[in-house]
Amino acid sequence: MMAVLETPPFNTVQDPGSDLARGYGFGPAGAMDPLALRIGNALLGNPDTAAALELQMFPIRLRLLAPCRFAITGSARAELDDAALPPWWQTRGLGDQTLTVHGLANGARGYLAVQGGIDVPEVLGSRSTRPAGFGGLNGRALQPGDVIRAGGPTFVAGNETGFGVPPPESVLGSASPGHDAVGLRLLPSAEFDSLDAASRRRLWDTDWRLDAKSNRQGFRLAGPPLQRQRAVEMRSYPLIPGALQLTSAGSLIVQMSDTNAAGGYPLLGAVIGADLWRLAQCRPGRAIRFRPCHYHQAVAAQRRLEAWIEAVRRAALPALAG
Amino acid sequence: MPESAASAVSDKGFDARQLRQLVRWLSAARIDSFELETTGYRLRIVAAPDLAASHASAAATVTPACGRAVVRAGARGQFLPRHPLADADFVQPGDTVRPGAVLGLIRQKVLLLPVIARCRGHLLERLAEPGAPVTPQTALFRLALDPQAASPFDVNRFDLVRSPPFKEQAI
Repeated sequence: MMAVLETPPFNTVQDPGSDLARGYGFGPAGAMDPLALRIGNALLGNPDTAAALELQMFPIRLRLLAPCRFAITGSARAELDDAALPPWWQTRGLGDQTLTVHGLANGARGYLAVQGGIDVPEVLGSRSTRPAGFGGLNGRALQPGDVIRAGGPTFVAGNETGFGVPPPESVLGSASPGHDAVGLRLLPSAEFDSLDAASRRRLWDTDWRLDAKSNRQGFRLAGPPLQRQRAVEMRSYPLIPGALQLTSAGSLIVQMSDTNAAGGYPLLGAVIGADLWRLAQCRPGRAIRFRPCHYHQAVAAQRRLEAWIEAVRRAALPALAG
Repeated sequence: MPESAASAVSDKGFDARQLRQLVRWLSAARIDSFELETTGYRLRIVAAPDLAASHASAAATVTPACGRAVVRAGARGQFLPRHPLADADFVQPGDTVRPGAVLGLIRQKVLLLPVIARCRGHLLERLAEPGAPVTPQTALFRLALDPQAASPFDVNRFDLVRSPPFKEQAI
């Protein structure tokens, strides 16, 4: 159990999200960096579906009101009282301690997972905080005075020293080796072929910049405008995180976790699921380069990511026992 | 570490209560032997052999001797003196070290295990190269112990002197 002593805005409870709310007109919600959430849960022996805190603004200070085990993943590091913990780390708190989480310069979001998962009601298949004002902790971002409770037992016996994992960049490598921009593999689809030839080239050759007008709903990308060969009126279609759309002004939007259930801009493709964590950790101004990807490459990338998570889960369980 | 394993030679430097407390600290810290020599007295505490053997674990171990201690890997893997996201080592020669401080990491398959300081002092030297393969007995660091430490074996709280040099996010 933790009490929030101090927090900036936009820090929320998130789990992997759920598609069960689509029928009611809501997108999936969920963690922007699903990999960091899953690794945090794996380090603690939690199921993948356990909810954690998604931290977008720093620092956040919490008081440990009881012994607990927690993990810090994503672009964050923590101090337990005055003891610094490495990033991508799990350890135990003995209670009556202050946990301070700071952001790192290499990314945009950190995750604080607790053993047992964060205990908030499941609404429409998810514990995630939704922009519509429900889910998560009272349907809103964290505030000072909030109390975070674990939904299952915590085991502070066993491992005393903590342990962690290398950051995913060092395990999964870069999707764009040798290039400063963040490489994102894009599966072209739907209206991609409606772009004129010059625009198709520009899509792959441009270093797109993440615009400051970006949030959990979508990332706007700054760059040269793209044009279609001819304008066509479209019907709305279901949206997923990673969907790359072309606005009527010729600019690009990537839908993110708080995407609407449906949209009507032309769909150029989708950032593959295995690269969403890279996109989620981009900060405004960061350069992004798309790389064409085929279906079988996307599946292979996802399998590699799943294999790493499973290996962490298998290794963490005996390590937790000490 | 049973008290019978402790042999203390002192010149009224410690009373029995202090010695019992010291043994508890050493036992909690899984330290096999301890030696302290200063003007007027010399103290030596050695764990029973069977207990000392059981101390091999994934956690790092320290073998103090005559005011200095060697920190060993405590696990098999690859030695990393700095976190992959950090610009500098966890500790450098001359840095003060407190009990619980992370001195380095052992990469063991997909996990990173900490190399933990068990006693107060300062770092004299790093004994292993970055990336070197290590066994549990590989010596990684040499520390100079601080004999003035009030509770040198408090291992229940991490207690780093300074933050690792990760790049902070500016808000």
